[in-house]
Amino acid sequence: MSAENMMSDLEEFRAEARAWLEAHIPTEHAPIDGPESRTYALDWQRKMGEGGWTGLTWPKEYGGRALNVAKQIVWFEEYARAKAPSTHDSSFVGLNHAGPTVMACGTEEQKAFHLPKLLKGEVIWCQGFSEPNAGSDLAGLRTRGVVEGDEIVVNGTKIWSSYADIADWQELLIRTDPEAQRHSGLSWVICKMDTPGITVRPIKTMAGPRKYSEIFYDNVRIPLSNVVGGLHNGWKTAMSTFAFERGTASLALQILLIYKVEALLAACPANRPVLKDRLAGLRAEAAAIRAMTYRFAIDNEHGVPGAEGSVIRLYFAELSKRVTAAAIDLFGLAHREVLADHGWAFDYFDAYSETIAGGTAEIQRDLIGERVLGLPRGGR
Amino acid sequence: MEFGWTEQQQAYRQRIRDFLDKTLPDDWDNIALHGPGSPQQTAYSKEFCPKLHAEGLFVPHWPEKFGGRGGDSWDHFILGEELWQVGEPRGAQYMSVNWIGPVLMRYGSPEQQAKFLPEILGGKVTWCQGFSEPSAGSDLAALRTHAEPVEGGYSVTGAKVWTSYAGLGDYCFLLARTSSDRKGGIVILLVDMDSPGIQVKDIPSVIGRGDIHEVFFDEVFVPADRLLGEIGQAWEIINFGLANERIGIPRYAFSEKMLHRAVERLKKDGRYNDPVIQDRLGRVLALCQAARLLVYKVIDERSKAKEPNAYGNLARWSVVRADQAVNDFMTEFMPDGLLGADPLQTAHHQRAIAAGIASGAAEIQLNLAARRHLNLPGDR
Amino acid sequence: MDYDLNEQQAEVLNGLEQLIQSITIEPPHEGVFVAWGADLDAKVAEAGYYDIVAAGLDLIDGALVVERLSQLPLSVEAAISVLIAPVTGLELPRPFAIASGSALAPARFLPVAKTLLVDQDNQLFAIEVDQANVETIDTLFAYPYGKLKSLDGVKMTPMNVPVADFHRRWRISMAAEAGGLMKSALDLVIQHVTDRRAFGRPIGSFQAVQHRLVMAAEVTEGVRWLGMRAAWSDDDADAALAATYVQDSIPKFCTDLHQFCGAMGLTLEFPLHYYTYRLRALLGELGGGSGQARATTALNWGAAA
Ligand SMILES: Cc1cc2nc3c(=O)[nH]c(=O)nc-3n(C[C@H](O)[C@H](O)[C@H](O)COP(=O)(O)OP(=O)(O)OC[C@H]3O[C@@H](n4cnc5c(N)ncnc54)[C@H](O)[C@@H]3O)c2cc1C
Ligand SMILES: Cc1cc2nc3c(=O)[nH]c(=O)nc-3n(C[C@H](O)[C@H](O)[C@H](O)COP(=O)(O)OP(=O)(O)OC[C@H]3O[C@@H](n4cnc5c(N)ncnc54)[C@H](O)[C@@H]3O)c2cc1C
Repeated sequence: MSAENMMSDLEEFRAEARAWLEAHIPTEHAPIDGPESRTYALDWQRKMGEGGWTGLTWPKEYGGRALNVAKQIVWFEEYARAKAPSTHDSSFVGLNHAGPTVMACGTEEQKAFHLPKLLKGEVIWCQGFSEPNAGSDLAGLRTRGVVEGDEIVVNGTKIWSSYADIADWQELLIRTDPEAQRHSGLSWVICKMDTPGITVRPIKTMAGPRKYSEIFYDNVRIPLSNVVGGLHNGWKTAMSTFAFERGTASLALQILLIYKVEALLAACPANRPVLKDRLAGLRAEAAAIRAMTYRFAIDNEHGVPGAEGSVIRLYFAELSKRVTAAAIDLFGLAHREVLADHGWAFDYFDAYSETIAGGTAEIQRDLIGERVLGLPRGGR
Repeated sequence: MEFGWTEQQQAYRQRIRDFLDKTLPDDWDNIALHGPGSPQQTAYSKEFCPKLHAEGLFVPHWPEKFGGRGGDSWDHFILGEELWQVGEPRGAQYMSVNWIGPVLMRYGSPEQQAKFLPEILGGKVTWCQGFSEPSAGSDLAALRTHAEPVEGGYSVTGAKVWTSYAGLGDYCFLLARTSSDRKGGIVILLVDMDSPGIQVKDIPSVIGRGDIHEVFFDEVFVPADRLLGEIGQAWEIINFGLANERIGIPRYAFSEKMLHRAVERLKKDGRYNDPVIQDRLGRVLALCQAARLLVYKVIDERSKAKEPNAYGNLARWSVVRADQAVNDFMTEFMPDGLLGADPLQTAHHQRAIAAGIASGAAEIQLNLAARRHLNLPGDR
Repeated sequence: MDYDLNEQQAEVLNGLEQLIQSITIEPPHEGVFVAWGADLDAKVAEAGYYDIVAAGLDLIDGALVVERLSQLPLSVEAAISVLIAPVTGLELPRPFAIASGSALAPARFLPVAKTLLVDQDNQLFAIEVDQANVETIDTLFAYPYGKLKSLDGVKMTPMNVPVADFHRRWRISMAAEAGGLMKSALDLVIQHVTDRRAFGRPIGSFQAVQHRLVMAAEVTEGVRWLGMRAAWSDDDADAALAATYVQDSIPKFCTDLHQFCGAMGLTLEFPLHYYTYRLRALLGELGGGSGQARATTALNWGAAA
């Protein structure tokens, strides 16, 4: 396709996306937690699926449209412009890292069973990696899985598992070979959340909602066929998950940020020049992030994303904090833009978790130093 | 707890100011521009220091038996502030006054005291500090310059680097080792810079002309009576000296002075009303004042004869941060100062960019404060 | 210049310490945002600590009291009573709330206050608070917040004192309070990173953590000394300067301290937010950091023309 044709093709796609979004965007805000938030997310996902707007870059055999990433970007731009529901909802894990991991490392049966369900808005996934004594040091995890015949029997505790209270499935990382050292001997398994022996205790976050949970596993039996990427090979599979989580998962959010900053600039009165100065700086940074995001998305269109994703992810996380802080300065405490559900105060607290969830800023910096800058490895 | 100056201290500060008004030549700013190690400033210091001493203001904090006035650490610091903030007319002499003299008073033999202290008082000899080496900067104890015991003294071979004022130096406060014992094998030698076998090379740098040097020692003979302290005592002496060096230069005073000068120019140029500039000015002034008060805490302890502790590292860090913030402000908003509009701004700039390296890198201060001030754990 | 407590200061603080030790301070219930210590507030009031400045002790003695009380996980209305309200020269009923610009602005402590002090159009007013006219604001900040529903029938008594005095004391109280909050937050986090291990060593041994904790300690010290100096001099410029530094330091301080507690630090089960969300609230007072910074500039070098 010539460059010209490509552009007009994209613009056509953009017009379609815009029209569809304008016609279908939900009028009600998403509930912040609990079963209502699940229903809302799934309904919206289903609606987008029916319109052909899910799995844009996923292969056709799993219900996707196999489009190129440029169209995915255009979709997210229109999505941001339309103020559509945040992609950072309970369907986030399934669509953005559990699903892609299954696609990259799973068996044909696993892919054929799970991926279409995700696109159709039938299931919610959660992530069971962290434990009370294994956060940054994930390889220190202790939840045990013992192979008994064609099942794995799981005992242990996971924590900080977002949406676990409303999820159907979980990407679960466990220790299946107790003899092996740290990273070896782990397995990445698909865990059905209503399996007997699972207890979920939601934890209230500082941001308000009961977003994440502690999970107890008491002789939970998981079919051996649910292992993704090979028994005892879970670290490698988990690294793919992280590559997606840190690389491409936040594409939509990274694109959205600049629209948010622009809205703040537009709302900033002329008699607050210092704030305007600050917002203008943030606008420039958001543009930088957007450019980095596009470059990265295009370079990593196929396969598992590279380590450079961490650079953008980290920058985005830190910039988000500064943007939300500026928003509160702009509107003041009591403004409805701040206090409403999904208002700026909510975003502000949420931004705190951005430098922790999915690997803390410090760990990301370590990895960037080692893998992107090629610095010598320090003690960790 | 109180934060005022006594009437005596106020009068003392005023006396210094009056003296400077009367004494400094009209083109002083253009001399100060070259830096304390420059031939211009060194030449002027030899004229200036004897006058200062005649006023009783050269070493007011030294005990009377060594030619001082028996003043306290506040006298020392008030003096330092007033002189450093005009660009240091003592040239390299501040080093002798701040820490070489005090080290000699505490650890020198009576003969060494009798020889060196009166010379310092004369204001005409220049000391340099031979600590750092090409492979021993932050990790000072890795130094390799060798002192071979020979008949009647030592034969020194090795290389020093970054040695300030070596080009015009008369004596070197030299660290060398007699054995491979990391800290215990170090000795301190008080070396004549005109000894045969010493070669000095100027290092061109962005921090001012004639400031830093390489010094090569090739079988330089140093008589035994030039050994400072006892064998094995060097590390203790170094730490005592460094504590005085680290909190020695009142950098914040010069930085505040730059802000005052900036405001004068801003008012003249009609830019003082710019709210962004007003915002930034207030913030950087606050950093300077905080640094000042942290340093005063150290001086307060010193004046009460408490042993130096890691609060000094913390205070030093805050001084570095303030210096750099002022420098960034000046470079962003007053670039014409570096293009001739204010000669002193170049001098300040050149001090500020080295503030986080000279007399111990900033990161090392942070390490020491972490371990010794906050008692954070080691890596086990 | 003397950084040690004088006799009077030591005596005040020792007395307060004994009082604090004699009270069982119930840790706030799990899962609450606002930890208002009604009981504690009443006991400190009864012991007379809120009146010490009004009763003639030095302002810095009062600042020390405020600093100490703000180290506790429960919030009490100390800063306004001890440091700010005395500028009115009147004995108004406490607890106080304060606001700037508009009597309808959200104000700390309003839901528990008897008197609201507010400057409006360059005049300071005292308002007797009728709780029926107070709307409690559901907030993430760890203070009780509220605002007046309306000004109908509300009597605003003009105070015979310059607004600058009100702002000066407000700024001093900001610093005194922030100093105590920072100290407690820092202690808590140092303990956490000392106890918690990852990769076979305490997380507090990683340099990435150590350096930023030292920076947190640096600003904690800076806040303390600038605040105490301002309380000692009771000078407009010193006060604005201290408040500038406070508000300039808060964002990074809070961000880093939460960061080092990982996911745990974001829960309501972990007490860090009681300190950091009081600090965050102070960040927005009197026009935020930029307001204080420009005041500092004006007070040091003259107002903008
Ligand atoms: C909102 C939110 C949602 C989450 N959702 C999920 C989820 O769905 N599923 C899941 O499994 N987990 C989830 N997590 C957990 C997340 O992955 C962990 O919080 C994260 O990996 C950090 O672990 P930790 O909280 O135990 O912190 P710790 O590991 O205790 O770290 C504490 C501090 O020490 C620092 N540190 C640790 N090691 C080093 C080092 N080597 N060098 C420098 N600094 C270091 C960290 O950077 C951090 O600042 C979520 C977390 C949050 C906040
Ligand atoms: C203007 C100026 C004047 C000087 N004058 C003298 C003088 O008169 N006499 C003299 O002996 N020396 C002098 N020095 C040298 C000075 O003491 C050294 O530069 C300083 O100790 C740092 O050593 P280095 O330059 O070798 O840097 P390095 O030690 O190589 O350090 C490079 C970087 O690595 C960092 N680093 C090193 N170790 C650690 C660690 N453990 N943790 C974290 N970061 C670390 C440092 O902080 C720094 O950022 C002068 C330097 C300057 C800039």
